[in-house]
Amino acid sequence: MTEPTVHITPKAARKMKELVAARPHANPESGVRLGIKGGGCSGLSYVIEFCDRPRAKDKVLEPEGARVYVDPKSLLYLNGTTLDYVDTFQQKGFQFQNPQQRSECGCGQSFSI
Amino acid sequence: MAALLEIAEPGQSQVKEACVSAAVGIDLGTTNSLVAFVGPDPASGAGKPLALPVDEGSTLLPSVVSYRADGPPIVGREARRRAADAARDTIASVKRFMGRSSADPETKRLSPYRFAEGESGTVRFEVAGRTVTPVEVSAEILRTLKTRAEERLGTPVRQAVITVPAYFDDAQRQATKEAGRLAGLEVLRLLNEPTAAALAYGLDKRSEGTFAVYDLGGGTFDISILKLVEGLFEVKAVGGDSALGGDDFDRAVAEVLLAEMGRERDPRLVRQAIDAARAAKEALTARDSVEVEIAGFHRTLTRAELEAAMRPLIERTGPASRRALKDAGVEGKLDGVILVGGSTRVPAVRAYVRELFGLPPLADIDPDEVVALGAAVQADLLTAEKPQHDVLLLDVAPLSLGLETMGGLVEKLILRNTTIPTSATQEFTTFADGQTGMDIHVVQGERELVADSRSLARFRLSGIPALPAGLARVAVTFQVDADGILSVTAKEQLTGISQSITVKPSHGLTDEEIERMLLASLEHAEDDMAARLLIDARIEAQRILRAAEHQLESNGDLLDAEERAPIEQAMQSLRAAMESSDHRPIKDAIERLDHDSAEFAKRVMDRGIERALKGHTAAEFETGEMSEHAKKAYRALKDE
Amino acid sequence: MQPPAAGNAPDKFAVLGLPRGFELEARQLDERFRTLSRKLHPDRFARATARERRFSLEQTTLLNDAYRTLQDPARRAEHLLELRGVRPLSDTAMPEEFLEEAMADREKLLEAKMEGGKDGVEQLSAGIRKKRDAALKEIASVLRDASPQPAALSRVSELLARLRYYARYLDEAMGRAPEL
Repeated sequence: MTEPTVHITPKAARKMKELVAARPHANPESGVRLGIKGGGCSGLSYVIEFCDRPRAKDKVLEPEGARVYVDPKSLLYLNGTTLDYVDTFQQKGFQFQNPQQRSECGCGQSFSI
Repeated sequence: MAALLEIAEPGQSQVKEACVSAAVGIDLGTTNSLVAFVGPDPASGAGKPLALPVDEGSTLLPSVVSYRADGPPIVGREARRRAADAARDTIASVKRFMGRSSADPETKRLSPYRFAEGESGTVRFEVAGRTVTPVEVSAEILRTLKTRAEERLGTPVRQAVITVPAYFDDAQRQATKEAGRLAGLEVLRLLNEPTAAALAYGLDKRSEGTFAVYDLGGGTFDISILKLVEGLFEVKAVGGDSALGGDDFDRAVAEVLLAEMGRERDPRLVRQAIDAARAAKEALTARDSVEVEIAGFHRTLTRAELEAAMRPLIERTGPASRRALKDAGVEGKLDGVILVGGSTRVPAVRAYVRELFGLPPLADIDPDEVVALGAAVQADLLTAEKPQHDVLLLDVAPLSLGLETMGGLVEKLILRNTTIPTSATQEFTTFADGQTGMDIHVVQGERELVADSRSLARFRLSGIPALPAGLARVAVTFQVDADGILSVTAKEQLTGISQSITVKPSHGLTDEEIERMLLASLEHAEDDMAARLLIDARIEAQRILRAAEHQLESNGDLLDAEERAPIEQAMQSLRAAMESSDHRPIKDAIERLDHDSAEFAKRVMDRGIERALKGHTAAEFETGEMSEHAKKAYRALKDE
Repeated sequence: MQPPAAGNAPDKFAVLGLPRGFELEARQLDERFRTLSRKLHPDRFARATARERRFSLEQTTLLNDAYRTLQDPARRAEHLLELRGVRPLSDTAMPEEFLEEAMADREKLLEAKMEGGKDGVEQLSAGIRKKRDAALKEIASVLRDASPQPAALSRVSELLARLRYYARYLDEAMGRAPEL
């Protein structure tokens, strides 16, 4: 039986590691929190932010040596999601690809399932 | 495709109003400008484009910008009222100056204005102690439309389809795009006005067949021939005169009146005569005679006199129309003629159209609004995940594009009325032994001589290997994109050395000037900060109220009456706070509503999870796994 | 700068997914063009990645060019020759007698115009249209052959040069001079 999880591409993992390391007050636990939050025009919205103190129930992922935390509630929504990092001439940034997602608004930050 | 995110600081992830930005259609007209929108917004009736009221309750924003020494410029009706007293500081019909050089005869013909000399030959107006370019003046109009649409829609407006006369050349298109950028808009597409009108028309009437769009606005005349088949709008030919419109009618009539008055002319008097002429023209669409008064001079003007003054101008639309019909190869096979533009309200124009095409013209959609409505439909087509209509526009290049060859002749690479996007490549050889550079001069127009054509750009390809004449070969490629904007690449075939440029008009703005204008517009934005904050707060408030209403409606059963009351009360006080002219009380009321509805939001989310769990249970039958974990996760949550 | 030399072109019939050949049904051509436009046009890719947008621009450019070429019988024939490696004949390389005939035609047109009678011009135009139709017919008959002789192909190339001349003549007769 597979645990619900979030897939993180090596590219995204490396980028996260690099960004976390560059922060002034990073500690050994410092990483990135992924999650979802109510609100936004389509109902739910993705969260991706730095995290210096994980919470007890967080799921901890360690792709490519990066530390990624997901709280259990968000994990339900994010299960099966792939997080990628896109870096093209035109644009760069992290991108959630969620198979459960049914619709998305223009900004890509909000979605509903 | 999902948008790209950046990692936020802890707790700083924002669910911003950013996600509901709207894309609008804008008709940036000579006389009036409009903004329209296709709603998913239920208020506007989904799927139907709607022109938004933007100026004193009207959907028409007069394209007039009045500059003041103290304070930001005024746009619209209020600016028009100032025109008589501040004729030189109030710019009207700026569209006629777009992309034109200060040396252009058309420029000199037009103006009560003071012009300043620019480095690159661009037109510059001296207004209220500073100089502005037509691009900046247009950006002011666009900015006003953007802001008022935002207030109206309650969402930020970031993207727009802006219409241009089909007959606009490359320089005029570039200038329009620049104005959009300056106003803080992403210009999704420049759409030809008659095509926009046909789009609105065709969708509304579900027509099929071949149509002519006769578009006579304040300053431009356009004729387009289109074929509509199964949701495909195929432009067959366009033509026109980018310096002919209702303004000219007014000037011709004013000329008659001024000649009769026989007084010495000054800008104020000329302005008054033009205003009187326009008022008379409008009144005479419904009456046979009207009283005219200019600075104490009285006269009765009849419709017959008006038409006599306008007739030669109206007849100038004939040859271009006939040529477009020929180019389209549809002589005598039209299914209808669509009227667009305020000047087609003039009875003499309608009569002439009927005579010209042998068909009674169609004008059941408001000719002032139809272009903006079509632009809104195109904006929806380009941005919506599920556009409201399944249609596609195929447009053409309005003017031929070519290169200067030996002897000042034009070698045309792309002929007018070629469907865009399109490209063409032509090879040239050197004409002198050991020639190492080649000057490339890009021109636009139908004439054979460079001297009679519009110069778009000059650049030099250097580094050609020194070879005997005729051996080095240079391939010049023209690419015209879906906006009708040209880019040119020149490539030496032996070495592969290449040069490419997006054509910047020879007399256009330099990069430094654009930079300066962008900076100036930022400063201007700072002056306006308070107003901006207020609008943002109102937008945010509307969004939150809408979300709250929606949640109360679909999940209201999660609350008992006692719990519901404070939320409704907080909503009520937010509505009241929105009337304030300061952003702070609105922000406070938003926070209060946020706070009072936090528990409700949590219950709504839990219900969402329960529903998601049910979904997983269904999936369990297929995979046999999912739901175990989901349940485990759910139990963990319950313990929290 | 000097005038160009010929380049080699991709098969425009293939772009539209049609079999190579001079005989072409206008309705089928239009239908293919519309279907492919719906699929490829940049408007359909406004929300796509930069790469997809570039691809769409390139493909639509090719499509528009192919459609324009195949719509017109003379250009279609020219393209068929091009695909067989036959270069178009330049106007100055035409046989002496044809050039003389052309000069005489033009003089007659000029005279008819000076006289001002519309009938004279119309009569002359009708004669040229007849020649044009005959040339098109001959081209069709050569190109219907699956593997025409080289001599037949150079005859087509000459006929195409004639067609260009007839087109210019008719434009002039109708007073369709290039305008501003």
